[in-house]
Amino acid sequence: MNLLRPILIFLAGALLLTGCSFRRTVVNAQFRQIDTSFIQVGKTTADDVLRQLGPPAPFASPAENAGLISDTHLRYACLETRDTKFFISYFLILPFRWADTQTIDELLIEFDPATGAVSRVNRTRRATIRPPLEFADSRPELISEDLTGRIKP
Amino acid sequence: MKTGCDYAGGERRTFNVERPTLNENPAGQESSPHPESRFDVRRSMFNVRRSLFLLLAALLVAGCTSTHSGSRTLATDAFDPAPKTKAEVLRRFGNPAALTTREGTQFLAYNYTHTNGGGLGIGKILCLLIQSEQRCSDNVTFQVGPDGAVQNIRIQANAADASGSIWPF
Repeated sequence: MNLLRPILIFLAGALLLTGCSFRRTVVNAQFRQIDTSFIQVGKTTADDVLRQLGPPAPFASPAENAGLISDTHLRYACLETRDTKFFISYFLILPFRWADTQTIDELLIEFDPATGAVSRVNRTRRATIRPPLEFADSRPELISEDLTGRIKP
Repeated sequence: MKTGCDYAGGERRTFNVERPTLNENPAGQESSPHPESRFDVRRSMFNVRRSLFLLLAALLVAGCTSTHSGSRTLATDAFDPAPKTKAEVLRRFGNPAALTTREGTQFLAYNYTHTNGGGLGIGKILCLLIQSEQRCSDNVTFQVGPDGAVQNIRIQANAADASGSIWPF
């Protein structure tokens, strides 16, 4: 009986501190919904794109630059993470954590190696889910659009 | 053992009062009209205490983590039928994570990762933290010729990588 009371008080305190954390993190939000109206296929060069949009930015480390920039392409990507955590308390750390990370908006601009002008523009949009409340099956299909045909030559 | 007083008869007498134990309850000193039920209460209290300990132990080992990155793993029927042109690759898989060009041939690389793990920590002061993670990574590379046709598809499925750590190591 003497031991039961402190345990009950501890559990009650732990339950009082219990909470759920719902977090959404967006990296490179400036690359979401980039206006591509200034790009002209066959005319606009990489210098023009860099002057207008700036260089692509990595999400976490400079090592990602290898996939974002090369002689033949520039890739602007916006990353989103949805994170759900469940805390028992600050004294008892239980990492109940679920996360889903997606590049929700990407713009890929390719250049012709011979002329250096834009040869293709492709935009891909994905959606994040919030596990464990949403399952991967409920994730909407990605939308990939070839914008080359919509841009004035 | 307790000490009590009795003033009956005009004389103060001191006597010892034995606290009844679980197994014995002497006649004349019953504190409960139902000694058997009191024993049951004590036993059930023991069971509650044990259950609470078990619950706490279950909570301690139940911490888990789950992280997804990338649209989907290769377990799906993503390659049935296989894409034949670069435009089809981009339409179905989106923009690649890496794009390299070598002598007119393009390599479109995609990566999908899925991480599962668990952890346990007691107190920020004690900082006892144990974590383990298992990561599965699927890598797909499309080789596209100068004419835009897919020449080859290389798949490295479920390249598993496990890691673990015990604080502060």
